[in-house]
Amino acid sequence: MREPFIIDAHIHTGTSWMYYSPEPDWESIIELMDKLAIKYAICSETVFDVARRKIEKTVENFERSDRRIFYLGVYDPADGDKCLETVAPLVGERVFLGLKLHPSLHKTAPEDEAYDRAWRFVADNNLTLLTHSWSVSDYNPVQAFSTPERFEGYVKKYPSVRFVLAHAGGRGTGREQAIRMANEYENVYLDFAGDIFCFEYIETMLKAVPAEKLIFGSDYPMLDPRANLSRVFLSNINSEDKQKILVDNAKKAYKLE
Amino acid sequence: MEIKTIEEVSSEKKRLAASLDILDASMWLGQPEGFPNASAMSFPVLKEATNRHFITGGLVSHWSGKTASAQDGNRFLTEEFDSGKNNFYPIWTGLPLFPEEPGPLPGLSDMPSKVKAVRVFPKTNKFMMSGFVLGSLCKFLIGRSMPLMVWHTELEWKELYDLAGDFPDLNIIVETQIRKILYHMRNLMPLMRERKNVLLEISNFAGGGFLDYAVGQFGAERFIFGSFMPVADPFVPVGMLLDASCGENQKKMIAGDNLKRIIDGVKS
Repeated sequence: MREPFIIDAHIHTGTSWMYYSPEPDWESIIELMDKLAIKYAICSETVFDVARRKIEKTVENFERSDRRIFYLGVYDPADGDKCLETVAPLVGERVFLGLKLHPSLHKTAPEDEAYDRAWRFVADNNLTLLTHSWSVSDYNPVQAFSTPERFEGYVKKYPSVRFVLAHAGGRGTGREQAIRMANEYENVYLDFAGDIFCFEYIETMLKAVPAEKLIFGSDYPMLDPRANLSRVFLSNINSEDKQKILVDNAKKAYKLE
Repeated sequence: MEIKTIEEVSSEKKRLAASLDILDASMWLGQPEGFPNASAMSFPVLKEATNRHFITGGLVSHWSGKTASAQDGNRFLTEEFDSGKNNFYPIWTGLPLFPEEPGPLPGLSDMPSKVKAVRVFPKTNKFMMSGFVLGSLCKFLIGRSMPLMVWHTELEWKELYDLAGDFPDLNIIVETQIRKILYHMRNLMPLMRERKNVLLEISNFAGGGFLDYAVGQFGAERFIFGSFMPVADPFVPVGMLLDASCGENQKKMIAGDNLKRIIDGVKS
């Protein structure tokens, strides 16, 4: 057994209509975290009604897990006020790190003014904003809602917000835009959670962005942390950069110090 | 609890990966289709990449077998493997044996003895994966003890269920590319439970807890290592295996022993 030290910056809990999951519960993720030396995980929600129902449990489980699984509330622009009301009592609590956007799932363009309240909320409270990002996809058209450059207006308007493009723009053309934004804006980070299983991806990305911008995440329980974790450990990059990707960058982006 | 540096953990993982003796069922030559960030690899470049990823050999396909025609892909592979390549073997692309089509095709022309598996693309090539269409090819493969391979995106689950039932002596390897297999677990798991001759290639079998669950349900002998290189990262399935809950012998079966048994059993 190794002393846990890694941060998995992108997980979920619970069941989904989309996919089968044999181990979606908190106990299973804690067990897996211990096995893989993952010290902290950052859990986000995407469906507001589910998030609202689970929020008390989330705080309780944070304490039960020895304060290891942190929380990002969901911001659904269709129900923005309620989303912010729900998470407002958590501001200042250690468990609460910020908000998650999912324009593809919520079918609302990232430029829409309905998102302004979320950006302002995160800016005013010195929190972090995570968003789903992807590439234009011929078989999944709603991904066009989440291409990285579409968030750029708000990135410029709220430069102090630590903003994480989840999935780093995906496997296609969104990657190029994600790279550009990470290079152009100080507070834009890229997590490679999910099945961005491109060949020699870690090495390729580190040639395109500073090592300080890339964050390890799994997308558990949809994807298994063992996949992306071993890609970092087995990649041909130096140990200092592995430390940044697995630990340091998430600490900075999510203000976990 | 033991404290290790990142360098120590990396070294340990590399040592364990090297000890798995990995044979890869999914290596590809030619220009990948639909993956804008992936580049074609020549065989020497692919071979060099296998060395970096602890892969010792396996089965090689050609994208032209899908993007141009079965015959074109098979021609490319025949030329490429003309000079022999130890521990690397081509996969030919197959079509139904009737109506007969010209050119190098399994069951319709001489097939080099190095060929160790046949893959079909039913959706791309517009045929059903049903006994009355594909049965004669299935019988040919059974006669050679040769497996039939198919991407999950190219099949209909009910057709595969019926075909695997009609030909229980045929090993059918379902491949987890080219999109998420995780959305299809509610079909795949019952299929594997009902059809013991269905095996699973694991390059994209990366859903949370999937490998542990499925190996527990069906046994390690039903799983075959694949990388889908150069589109995908071989370290994904390597990582899934390294930290899997099963024993070391089971990991070695999945990593290479199962595929070796299949390759060694093919009759030329």
